[in-house]
Amino acid sequence: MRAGCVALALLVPGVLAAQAGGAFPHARHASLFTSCLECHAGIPAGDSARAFPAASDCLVCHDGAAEKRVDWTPKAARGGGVLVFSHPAHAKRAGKEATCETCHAAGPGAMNVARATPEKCLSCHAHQATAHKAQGNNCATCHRSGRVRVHQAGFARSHGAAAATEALTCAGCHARRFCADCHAGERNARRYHPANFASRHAPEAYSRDVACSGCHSTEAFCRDCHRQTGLAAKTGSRSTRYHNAQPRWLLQHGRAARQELSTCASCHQQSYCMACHSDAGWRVSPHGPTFDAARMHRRNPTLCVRCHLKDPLAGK
Amino acid sequence: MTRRLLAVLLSVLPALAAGQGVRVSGVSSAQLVELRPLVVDSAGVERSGALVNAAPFLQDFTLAAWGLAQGLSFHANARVRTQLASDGLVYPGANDRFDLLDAYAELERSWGRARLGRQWVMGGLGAYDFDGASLVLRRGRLSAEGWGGRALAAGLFESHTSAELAAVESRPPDQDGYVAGGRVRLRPGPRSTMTLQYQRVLVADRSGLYSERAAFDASHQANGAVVDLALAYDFAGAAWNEVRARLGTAKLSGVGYSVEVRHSRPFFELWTIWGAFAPVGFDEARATVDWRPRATAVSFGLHGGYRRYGESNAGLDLRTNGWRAGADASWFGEGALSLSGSYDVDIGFGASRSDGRARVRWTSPSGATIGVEGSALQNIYEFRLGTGRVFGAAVDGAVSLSSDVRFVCDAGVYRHARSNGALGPDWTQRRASARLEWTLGRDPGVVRGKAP
Repeated sequence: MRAGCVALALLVPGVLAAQAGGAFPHARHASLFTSCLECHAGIPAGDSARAFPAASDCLVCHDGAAEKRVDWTPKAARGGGVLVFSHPAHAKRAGKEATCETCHAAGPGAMNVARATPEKCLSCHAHQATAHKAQGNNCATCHRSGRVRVHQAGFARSHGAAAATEALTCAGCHARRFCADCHAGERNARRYHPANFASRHAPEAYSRDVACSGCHSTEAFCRDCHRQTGLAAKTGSRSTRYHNAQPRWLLQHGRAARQELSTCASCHQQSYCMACHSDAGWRVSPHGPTFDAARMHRRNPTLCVRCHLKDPLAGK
Repeated sequence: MTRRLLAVLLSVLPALAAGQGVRVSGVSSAQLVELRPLVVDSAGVERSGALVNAAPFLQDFTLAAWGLAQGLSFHANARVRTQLASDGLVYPGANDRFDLLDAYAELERSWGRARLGRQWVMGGLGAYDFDGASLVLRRGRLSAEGWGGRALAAGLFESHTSAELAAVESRPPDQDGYVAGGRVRLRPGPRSTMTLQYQRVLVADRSGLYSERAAFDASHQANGAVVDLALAYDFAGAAWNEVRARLGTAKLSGVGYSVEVRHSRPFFELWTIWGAFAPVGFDEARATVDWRPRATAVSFGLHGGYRRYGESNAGLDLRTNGWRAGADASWFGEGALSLSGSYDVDIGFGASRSDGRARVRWTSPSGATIGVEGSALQNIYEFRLGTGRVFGAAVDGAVSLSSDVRFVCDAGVYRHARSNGALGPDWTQRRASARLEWTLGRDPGVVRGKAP
């Protein structure tokens, strides 16, 4: 649990640091402006140079005398985002069906604004499929694909928490089968693994950068291939000398197994290990000092009699 | 059971056709895979055997039908496999000709969502497939979800007692499993969310459990920074399978970084004996740095990590730590050209590797792409299977034939240059694949007007 404590120690300052800073306080300036276009004149025209006010505009008030000086620089024109959206096209309808507030009003009051959300889009553009994330919706209607770097580097291996908590709604951009492309057992539509992965995947399997079993059946996928390629025994005995680089392998294998047991299971069947580690075999106990027999027995008593001829905890 | 589900699927097709919209998309993919199985010769020396190959063909179908009633839709994913050719190698799973990945009816309304049929639960415990029902109830920032039904073996889309599992395991489970689980998701703020999940898989005759686990995930974003926490606990083994905390930032002044600490211990269902072998986990610290100079199309990245395994109390001296490091760079031109390259080293107790790659990619104005990649790979240190380096060259391309049809292909050659007189396996191989992505049917898309 040391890792857990370290994790929390990292988390707290991270959250605090993430809270720092902030966007332009629109509401605090509500009395100064009567129209969004006073600062964002370029948006309806598609002129990115005038999409945000110049820093010198702030200095009119924030000159260090009347108001404290502020350090603010205009945002860079975003463009090329993940949405197929045109401010100018929508602005043509301004005054008829849509205004800035239609999408950006966060509540009552002048300059109480926020970023537009997908729900705002759907208030005018309704899916016939009745749901934003319904499978089969044509994502390209609203979402752009291609060379847009939306996620941070390494997101492919770190997206678990974001997906599990729906901090990012994956289906908001990706069709639902996008998950199945990687998590359904075989490489199919997406190139999740790099080229020649069959030759280079062993270190990934050992270090569990991503768990193989998250997508593949260890038995039916990994073991099946390892058997056919001579890495694993096709019968009860070893067919090759995979561990030949380890001359003292018999004495070392216990530590290797404890450290990365899932790689053992990617070649060996249970019966192979039971030849030594069972009552029917050499009765070498595989249980480590941390093994809680009673706890496991409570969850599944039939598991014990796989190796023990009699239930060792019967009646206890 | 798969046949029964397929029969249900076929029986509802007429009803689906009567709906307002049906959309079917598919991915047809074929591969050519060459491998050299290991053999032990009469002198007891491990060598590469004759080259064998396989040509697996996968056909995925995805179906969505809607318009049957407000919020009601039907979804299905199916996969058909076969081998176009085989020369001594059967691609894993190729004998399992049909998989129904999911097939369910869904009712989506503002109060929540209900699903009935074969479906997935994706969450902090990974992906679980089952035949059953699930219900999500939403109220403000809180949502609660429950699910239950017949569990399927992980990554297999078959029951625990299926022939597919028995074919590769001499002691397969003799009972099916039933899954029951739930989770609560809370959004304390617009950029914070957390999920607590609990799930157990019961043996069909209720004599015990195949698994009992819980997970907690949390994420907070602010000002371009994101903090993630992920915990997964195994009640049967009384062990944390995953403890992970990660802080990442968007690029500040062109520099972005992430730091992560992690504890990882493998999880095994209780139909195997592996959990009783008292596996230990490892603790790992990782960091990444990305730098993209302003107003340039160039980006650079560095990453590194160090892991240490727990005390195993077994066996003799064996490496108990590992590390990895790497660097990458890429350049996206104003036009259609991009260049990228990377180098990575991963040193561990079980397998170690050093490899680099460089890639050029060109995109036409119509969106068609073609890429060329060169690579070099070396497996080093423990458990190594070869000596020398594997050099590779590969090409890939993609072209959209219409708005609903896209063709993608790639091919690569990998040549094993062995060190002076080295014996052992030969990793010289070839690979190729071709894929056709297509869509038929109506486009639900968007229409003007209020949501129904």
